Formats: sequence, C-alpha cells, structure tokens
Amino acid sequence: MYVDNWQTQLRKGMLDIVILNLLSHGACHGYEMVQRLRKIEGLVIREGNIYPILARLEQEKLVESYTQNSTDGPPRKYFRMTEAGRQTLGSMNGHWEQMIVSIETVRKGDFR
Amino acid sequence: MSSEQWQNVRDGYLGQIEKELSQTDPVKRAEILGNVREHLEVKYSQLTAEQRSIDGYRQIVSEMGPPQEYADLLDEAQTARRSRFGMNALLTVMFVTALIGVSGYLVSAAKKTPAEPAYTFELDERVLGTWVTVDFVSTIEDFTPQRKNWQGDLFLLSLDFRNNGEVQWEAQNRKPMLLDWTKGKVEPLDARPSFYYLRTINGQTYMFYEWVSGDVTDRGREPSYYVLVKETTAKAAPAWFESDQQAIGFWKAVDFVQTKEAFTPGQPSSENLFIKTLHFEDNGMLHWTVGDSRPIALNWTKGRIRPFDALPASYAIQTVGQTDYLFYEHKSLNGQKGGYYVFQRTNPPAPADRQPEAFVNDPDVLGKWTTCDLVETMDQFVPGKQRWQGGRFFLNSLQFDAAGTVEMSLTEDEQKVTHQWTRGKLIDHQRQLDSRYYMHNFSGTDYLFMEWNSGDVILRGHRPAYYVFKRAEE
Repeated sequence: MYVDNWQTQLRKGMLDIVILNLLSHGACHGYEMVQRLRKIEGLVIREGNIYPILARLEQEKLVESYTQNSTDGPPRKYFRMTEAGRQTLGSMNGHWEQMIVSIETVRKGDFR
Repeated sequence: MSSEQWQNVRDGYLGQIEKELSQTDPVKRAEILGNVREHLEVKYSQLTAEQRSIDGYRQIVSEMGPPQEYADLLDEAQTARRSRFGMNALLTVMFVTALIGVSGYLVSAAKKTPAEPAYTFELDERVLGTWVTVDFVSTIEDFTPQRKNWQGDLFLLSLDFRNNGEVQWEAQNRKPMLLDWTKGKVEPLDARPSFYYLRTINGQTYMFYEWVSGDVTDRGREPSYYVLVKETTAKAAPAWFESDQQAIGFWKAVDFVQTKEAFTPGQPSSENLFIKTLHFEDNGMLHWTVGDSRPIALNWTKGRIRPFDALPASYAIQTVGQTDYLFYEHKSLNGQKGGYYVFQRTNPPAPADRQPEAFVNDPDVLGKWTTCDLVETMDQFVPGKQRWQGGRFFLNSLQFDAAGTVEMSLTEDEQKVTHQWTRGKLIDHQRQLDSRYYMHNFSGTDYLFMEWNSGDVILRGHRPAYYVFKRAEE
C-alpha cells in the first residue's frame, strides 16, 4: 500500500516533464498522446490526467494548441511545444538527470 | 451519431468534472472540458458493436479517471509541497516544475477573486422553493408538455431556491451543492452565469434553466435548458401521461407465453418468472419487482411501459374466461419480440420496509477474487476458455472481508466501490436488487459466479448475466 501511494505521487509529479518530452518529438492530439504513453512500460496514467496538465502548460505558454482537420472524423485539437516550452524542458531535463545521479549516489552510499 | 445512452454517460461524466473544476478559471475549465469531450468521442467511435452497451460506456469513463483528479492535478503545486514522502531530490524536481504552474495560477486567482461580492442579492419570490427537472431541451421553443423531449435519465435532479441567496443543486450520483443565485441567474459571479426564465404554458409555470457547458463557454454555442416544475406540481400526473383506469392497481405474474393465444389460466407454461409484480399508479409511475428486488420505478402511459426508453414495451388487458389478465410484451435485448408476461390482479402487498439484514459469514468466499469471464448463463462457462470477447472487464475483482463488506475494483486503475454482503449475496441498497453469488468447483479450482444486475435487468426485466471469478493469486 505504501509503495502504491508513493508510485501514484511519483507519477503525478512526473506528468509535466513526461508530456513536454513527448511533445518535443512532434505535435500530437490528446488521444494519440495517451496511446503513445500507454505503450511505455511502467508509465501508468489515467487517460484524462493529461488534460489538466496540458491546460496548465498552455496557460504558461509552454504548449500551444491548434485545430487540424482529420480525415477520419471531426477536426481535432493538436498540441505542440512552444519555444519557451523547449527552453523550460531543457532546464527540467537537466534537473531530472541531476536528480537521477543524486539518487544513485545515495543508493550506493557514496557520501564522500 | 452517438447513442443517447452514450450521451447520457458522457454528459454525466463531463458534468462531474465541471463541478470539480467549479473554482477553476472558466476559460481553463472550458478548455479542459472541450478536450476531454473530444477524447471521449474518439474512444466511443472505436467501440465495437458488442462494446456499445452501458458497461462499455462506463468502461470508457473509468479509463479516463475519477473527476476529482482533474482538480487535483490542476492544484499539483500545492499537492507537491504537502508531499509526505520527504525525498528532497524528488521534491526539488517537483518544486521546480510547480513553480512554473503556481506563479501563473496564483496571479490568475488573485485577479479573479474579488474582495467583496460583485453583486447585490435580489430576491425573486416566484422561484422560492424546490423545482424538479422534467425535461431537457435544446431551445425553450422545443419544449412541449405533451411529450418528453429527453430520452433517458436527467442528470440535474432539482434546484431549491432559498431566500438567503443560496440555491441547493442536486444531480445524479452527486452530493448536493450550494450555489449562489440572484434574480434571473445562478452563480452570478461566474464569467458565464446560468440564467433562468419562467414561462407559463397551458396554465402551468415552467422554469427553463440554462445548462452552461464547455460547448457554451469554449465553443460559443447556445446553451441547452433543463425544464423544471415546482415540486408540488411534479407529484401530480405529468402532461405526457394518459391514464388507464383498467390498469391501475397491483398485478402479479402468473405465466410467460410466446403468444397471447398460448395462455391458459391455471396451466402455466413457465416457472421461475423473473418479473414478479406490477403496480400502476395514476400519475405515470409504475413500480415493478424483478427477481428479489424491491419495487423499481418506471414510467408508463396508456398502453405503454417505459414510453421514453429506446425499447418501450406495450401492454394490453384482456379478459380470459371471466378474469382480466394483463399481457406485457417482453422484448429481447435486440428489440425483437420475445413473448408475453401474463399478470393477474392481486391485493396490495403488506407494507414492509427493508430491514437491515444480519450478517452471516461465508468463510469459503473470504479474500480476493479476480475476474476471469462474463457469461450469459452459468452453464456457458468453460474454465480456461474465456467466452467474453468485449475487451477489458468493467469489474476487475471482489474482496470479501469477515465484517460483511465487499470491495469491488472497477478497471485496472482500481476505482473501488464498497457494498455489504452476507452469505449468498451482495447487498446493493441503492440499486434495489441484490446480486446472488454461487460457488462451483471445476477440476479442483473454485470459481465464484456473481449475478450482474445491469440496467437491462433492473429496467427491462432481462435475466442477469454472470461475472466469473477465480481466487486472486498470492
């Protein structure tokens, strides 16, 4: 139970950086985003979770949306990263890599 | 074009999200709702024919996640700072991420929240009291008292206007909420309040209450309207109802026949009738019992039961010998005629409130069970050969404890629902129909079969299907 709760909190905290990294590979719409994320082992998210995150990222101008006609249905809303988003993601990824190194240091007991 | 049943499920879910985000910036809220709606419609479009059922629609909603999480994730910064896990490195990353969101969010919130109310409450005595919904229409002009426009359950149930500027808002499966109101509108401080209008039609006063959804705030569409009447009026017969004095009263099922002509009084051709009793009231309300259920409320009008349902049923009263019998046309799930339930008049049952049942333990069922199949009848089940081809199960597992509580896990994300149980059945007070369970052993392995009482069982009198469970692996 403790680990389950911890995993839930961990996933929630990572959604911003996960979504930004996903969009760094190209624009996509919400449903497509979820389908891609579901293929990643261990990355369990509820499908609706991405939308409040996208709303927040869009408000911060890190992400922008646009509507594109679809060949198999009504027009869809697509999301893409802005230049400000790229810069912010660069900083976030740097912090993330540093955190990984830090955790490994602690795990190994290398406190020198 | 999506079915009305799907629309009800979809709109109900969106309505719950909307309320969870009631404190959110309206533009942001509208964006989120619009995106979620689009996502839901994509998922709906990919359903197979077999999956297009109420269970399939609920599965879609379950996969989206609980409405509470939308507000939770918008409030991610505050949640992150309150984290009790004490991992400094993780908190640092979350805090950096949160800074981006919190600064913008706080500025937005400060601008939005006025120090004092930006309106003065103006009383409208005409609306004081409780109003109950009777219909849902696209425009006020679409409403006609003679025919209900909305085919299905109404999400909004009632509005109770009070003279202190508060209105209690009640909806399906939602806790009542207190909102603000003033003359002419509800939630006057919202960027887009919900206006109400009173109209008198054929001597009856109706309230038309705007349903301000994301389509209105985000896509600039005109609102639809809930139609309400004063509660005292609602208890009288609705305008669409035509009485049938011959039907009023209590009836008990005596037979099930393929044709009316096949019925012979005193020589029943069917046993173990699933629909048990009918009680017709002279206000459009019919109560029936199915299986072991308590009375379940339906609508009726002369000659028809469930007149607004996708599969309405007809009835006719005929005299056979010297006795009146009511023939209820029972249709199969695909709408084909299946036969006739035959009812005979009976005396009103003695009033009996449902008493809490004393818990009787069943040690054989304690613990966790996981779903392995869903079958129409128990004898269809073959161990190791799954019959259900409709994708993921809506119900994932059951966990029985010795205190009389059973926890149902719905979908992989473990949305949980708790019921009471006792030996032989799961007690569902809200649905009015208990789910019986049976244990069978195949080649040394225990299987548990549980009745699945869907809407087709409760509302259309069809026999339940069965979820099949195996003991969860340790």
